Amino acid sequence: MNGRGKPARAAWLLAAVLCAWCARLVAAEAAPAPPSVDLAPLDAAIARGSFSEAIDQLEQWSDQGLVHPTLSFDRGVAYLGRAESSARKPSDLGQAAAAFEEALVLDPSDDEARAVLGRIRETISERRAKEHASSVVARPRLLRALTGLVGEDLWAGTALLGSLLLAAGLGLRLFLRSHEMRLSGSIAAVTGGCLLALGGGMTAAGQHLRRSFSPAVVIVEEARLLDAQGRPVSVARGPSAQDAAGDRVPEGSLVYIAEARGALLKVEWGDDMAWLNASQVRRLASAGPPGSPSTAAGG
Amino acid sequence: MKRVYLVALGWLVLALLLAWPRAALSQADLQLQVSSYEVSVGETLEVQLDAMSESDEAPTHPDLVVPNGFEVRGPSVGTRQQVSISGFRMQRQVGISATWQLTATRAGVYSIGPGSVEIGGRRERAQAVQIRVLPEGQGAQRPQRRGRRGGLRAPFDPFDPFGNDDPFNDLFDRLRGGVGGGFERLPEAAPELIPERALDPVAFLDARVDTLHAVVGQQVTLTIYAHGGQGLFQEAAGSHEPSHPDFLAQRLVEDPSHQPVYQYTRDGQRWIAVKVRETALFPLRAGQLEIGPLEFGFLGRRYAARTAEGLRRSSRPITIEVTEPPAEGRPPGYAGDVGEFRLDAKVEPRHVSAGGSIAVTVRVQGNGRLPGALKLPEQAGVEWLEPTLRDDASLVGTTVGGSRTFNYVVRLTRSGQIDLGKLSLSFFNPRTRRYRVLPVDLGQVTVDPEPAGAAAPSAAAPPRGPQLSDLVRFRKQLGAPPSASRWMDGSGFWWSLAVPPVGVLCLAGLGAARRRLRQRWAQREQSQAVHAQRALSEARRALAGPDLGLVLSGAERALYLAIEWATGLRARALLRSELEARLGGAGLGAALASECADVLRQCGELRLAGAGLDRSAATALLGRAESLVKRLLKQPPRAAAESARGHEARA
Repeated sequence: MNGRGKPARAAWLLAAVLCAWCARLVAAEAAPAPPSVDLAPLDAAIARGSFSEAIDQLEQWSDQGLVHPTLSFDRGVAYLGRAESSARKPSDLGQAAAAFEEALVLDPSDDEARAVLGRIRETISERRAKEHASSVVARPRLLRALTGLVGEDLWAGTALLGSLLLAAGLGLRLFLRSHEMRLSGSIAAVTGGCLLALGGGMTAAGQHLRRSFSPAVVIVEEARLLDAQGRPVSVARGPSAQDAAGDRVPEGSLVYIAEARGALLKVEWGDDMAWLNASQVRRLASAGPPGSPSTAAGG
Repeated sequence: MKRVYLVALGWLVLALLLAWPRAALSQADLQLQVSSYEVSVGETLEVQLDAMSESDEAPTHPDLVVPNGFEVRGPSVGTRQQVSISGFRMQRQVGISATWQLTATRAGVYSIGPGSVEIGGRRERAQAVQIRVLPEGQGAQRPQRRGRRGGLRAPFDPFDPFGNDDPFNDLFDRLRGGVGGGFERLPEAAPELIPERALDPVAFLDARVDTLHAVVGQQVTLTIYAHGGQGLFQEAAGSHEPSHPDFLAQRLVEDPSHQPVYQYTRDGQRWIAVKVRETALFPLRAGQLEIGPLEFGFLGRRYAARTAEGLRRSSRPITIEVTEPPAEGRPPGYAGDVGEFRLDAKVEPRHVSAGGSIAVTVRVQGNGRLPGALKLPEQAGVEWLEPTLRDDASLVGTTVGGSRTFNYVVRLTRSGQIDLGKLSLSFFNPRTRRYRVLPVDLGQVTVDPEPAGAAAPSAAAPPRGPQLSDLVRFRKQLGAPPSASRWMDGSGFWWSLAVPPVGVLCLAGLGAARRRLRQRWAQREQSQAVHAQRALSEARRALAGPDLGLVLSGAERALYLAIEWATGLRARALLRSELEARLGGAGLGAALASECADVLRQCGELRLAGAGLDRSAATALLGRAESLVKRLLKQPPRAAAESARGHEARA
């Protein structure tokens, strides 16, 4: 027993080190400094009804690569204001939806952006209903639905917990002689292994979706789905589309870009892939590392 | 009586005959013509409305209904007079000829028109014309040139500069026939027009652009000259136009038959050159953009008179490097306009009632593709309606330009002294490589309160419901942005998943390995091979000392241990006489067994020598023993294997 005491102590020490490492991993990085821009003139422009002036400046900052959830949110406010003013332009509501969606991508905790985005999509649906346009309901892809079920952070946390549990179970099973402890260790190891496989798998899937696809929002009234040659798809697109209008994507819809080829974008819409005209969607900026699909130019 | 009726009837018929032409021409004569019934996207179509009136009032205010899908320039209006004899009367007609240039922007079938003019306060309309717009690059059929075989004749035809009206007449034949210096009568080609070398001995096309580097929206002029070395030629039908899918195009040369013909001599051969195409191209995107070749048929007796396609030649494709205008210095709201423009505006009236409207007329003039929109000074209570556009296109040399007038109706719903603000246009000047913003101050307008009677309906209007924009407020402060990277994105996350279980397993494995090593070490300590080596070492050390007996005993002990290692036999317990046979029976080779027995025997004999033992003999014996031990230890350890088998048997 005395001979086994040293490895057991070493195992506990190792566990403590790993816990500390995980805590450091999860701890938030130091936030970068916000961009130095003056928003007061834009606020004044919006207050006097000059929405286009604010939009022009915010769009220029966006073109210059300034990415900040507040700037995206303000751009949404400006587009929304113009959409409801006499100076409205056809794509204003779609642009507002894109801006608020971008604010959410950059800061998923922004409940105000989430709420107004929902209202914008309701408004677009109501408008389509008034115009007797058929409703389009697209089921998300199964993998995306699963990864989005609890969020990538939670899946990653589950994987970490599973890893620690597996390590603890193995430690109990291998280093202790007591039958009860070894049984507990076995149970913990099996449970931890399952959690690790599930959490790790879902985290990997989430990362794959995030890195292979970049989110975009349709900014025209209806974007017609095309085939790879740019010809309109003339039939309903499978069971995800509820009616014959399944070959069109309504304004404000979130799609995921998989590939860009010339003026066409291959997008994931519902559980299917199709092509859209690049000028009909707005690619959302993301805070991801440079060069990732979300931050790459295009769309 | 009957005769009286007949005379009256005759006078009536005469009166009708005299009155008929006037009645027929009292209506205006309107005719709408298009230059082509089929164009492709990006190409320009010419629409001409001819309106003639017999009355003294000339037609005015020509108008053309143009569907969406075209950019409209014009009209350019010219006056016409016509004298005709109809019936017994000479009639004089006055009229106008209005020409619009329509650039197709979308494919489809469209109805152009009706065109209309105003005559004496009435609006007279011409019929509409249906045309087909093909997708860009599909090369619509060019209209047949008029004037060759029937139809209208061009005033001057460069393909027949001397007016012989024979499409296959050959200039040089006429020169040889002494028609009289026709070749020399052609103007000499400018030096820059003459290529460095003839690309073909008979005919070739020379395509040029004015610049190979441009920014998006900047005009690039493509000019293609046809050079013929075999006399006159004309263009055969079925030319394939240059493809330019990444450019918006405007033809500058609509009909090559109106272009002058030049002559030059190169290496003793006489050539004529004609500009057959000239197009202003406006790049639509950045990148290496290609302008395709023009495929052109030279038709003439010395070219290919017998085929309708003529002698086919193609120009070379050209690649233009197009970049975006620089990001540095780009003004907010820049809409991609490139060129050099001037801006002026007029506002009238300056005094209206609330709910009334004013007209703001803005004129943009300059070179380049005319801007499609201006930046308006929006504000609450000022509603800018969609403008109507009026274009007056012009061409200075090969530079496209002109003026575009934006007529805005601005509705003012708020009373008071309203400063309309500044309307502006931003553009990039490719010549100076700088952006410029042209603001025009629109000044102030006095808006009186709405009259009481007029205010009633608006008061009765239902109250405006809550708006989406009321839900959100502009955020004025930029907080620290969330972290740019997710904690699970780095490789550290995956290491964190792998390290705990793997670490525990490694720890357990290390413990087990340590235990196994210890066991092995202990076993090794018990091995005959190790003891044999140690005995040899002791013998070697004893060789240096005075007691040579220790050398013999060490060598003997090492040999016994090595034999036990290799055969499992305890040789010390055997008689010397039977040793060799037992060793051979235990699997050692006969020679090895014999040598082992011999060395052991010698050890015994020398030990008997006692103090008289010779050191050299001991050394030789030790050497033989060492050699034998080495050979025996190379054998598989029979002792260990047999011992293991023994353990198993016991178990």
